[in-house]
Amino acid sequence: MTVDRPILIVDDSLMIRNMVKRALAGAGYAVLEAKDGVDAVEKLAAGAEPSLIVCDVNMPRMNGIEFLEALRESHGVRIPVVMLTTEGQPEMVRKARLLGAKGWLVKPFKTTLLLAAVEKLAVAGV
Amino acid sequence: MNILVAGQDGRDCEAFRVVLCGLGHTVNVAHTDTDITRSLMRGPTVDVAIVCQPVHEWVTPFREHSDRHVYVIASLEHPSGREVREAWQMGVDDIMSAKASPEEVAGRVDAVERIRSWVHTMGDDFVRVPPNTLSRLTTLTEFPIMICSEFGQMIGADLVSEPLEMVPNLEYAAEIPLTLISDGLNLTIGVGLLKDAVPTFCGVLFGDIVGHDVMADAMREFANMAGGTIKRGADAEGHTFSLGLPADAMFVKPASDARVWRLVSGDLELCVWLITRQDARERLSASLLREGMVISKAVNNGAGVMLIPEGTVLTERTVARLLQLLGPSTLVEVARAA
Repeated sequence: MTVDRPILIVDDSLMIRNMVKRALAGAGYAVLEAKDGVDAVEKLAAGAEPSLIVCDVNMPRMNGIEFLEALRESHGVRIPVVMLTTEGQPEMVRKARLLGAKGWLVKPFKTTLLLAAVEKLAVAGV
Repeated sequence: MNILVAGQDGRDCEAFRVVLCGLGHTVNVAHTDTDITRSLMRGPTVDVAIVCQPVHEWVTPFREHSDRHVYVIASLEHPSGREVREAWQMGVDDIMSAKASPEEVAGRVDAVERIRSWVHTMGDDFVRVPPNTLSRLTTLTEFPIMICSEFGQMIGADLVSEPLEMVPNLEYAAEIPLTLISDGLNLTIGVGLLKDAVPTFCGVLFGDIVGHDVMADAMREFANMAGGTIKRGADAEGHTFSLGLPADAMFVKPASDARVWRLVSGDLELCVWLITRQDARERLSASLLREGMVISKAVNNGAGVMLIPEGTVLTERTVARLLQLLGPSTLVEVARAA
């Protein structure tokens, strides 16, 4: 099952964006890309309407936690966000959840887990 | 030197005492942790301790009841991998077999004199690095194994690690800094790829040869993953590192104090290294703050409300917010390395 609206991947690593894009495209999802939080905010401000955002934490300019804050200010919590990161500090996970993140996946990620999260959040709209 | 031998078995202790007395050392023997504490409190300064098993019972008093570092050598009956690892984790400085020859015992005890003879030449950074936190982190001692597992998952290969003397010449490399604010330490983790391994790496990861930018990006992401591995592991051990941003390491020179490993699977060969430094903290006016610096002392506003906790890695956005809230001339304490 897929959704009409694309999934936005926010990561400063082209390699990770490509890997996530390959996994999602293979499952039939359309994909948008942003290279950091600032780029993602700009794409959303320009009218992008993703069904889900997959977001890194450790990024230049605006990190993933700051992006969640900015997203909450501009869009509330209506777009679900899954964090995809090398970080795992409980305090950071807790903060992300408070800011509305719905999932936390650790790199290197398993495609099956990513697709399961996408299925649950973007398709089912949980 | 003054040497304290600690152990329950009188015969083991006596064997060490005879050898070391014969070499001109002053040797005391402790059979309980109370004996050790008494020796540390009232006796002559202990230079070296030899502790028998169980190591954890004997090491603790030396670390808790002595103001100065006592060089502790663990004597293990059957030094299996697990026992050796546990002894290092307890903070011993050296390990030897209980069956070590008198010459070996003498040489290991004399390590203290050897270290004293050169340590002053290493400069302040070396001398001031407190060894305990990092040497006790299982995450760091197990780093090669953990990184083989993480990278192996990423590239779908079974990697094995081997130590190297130094960082070899690399075609691509990236490094990432981690800061342990509580101890004022900075770790640099590097990841690199040898020229001969580039085609295999590209084939495994991308299916074909890719350009320089893609390869550099891949190295940065591998460094990021290595940093994340250390950070998550240290978190589980109760130590919170701040993870900086990965950057290209264009001129990787053989660092004499780097711990280096090659990770190999067939033709695929990566290189990883760890460098520890005392962190250089400084107070900067807010106008001089830059992305990547780590806040080493929480920033409060005039009313005492915390704006940014210590350990925060600055981004452009945070720097801009701080400037707005504090003004350009307010001093902020940061760790420079990250």
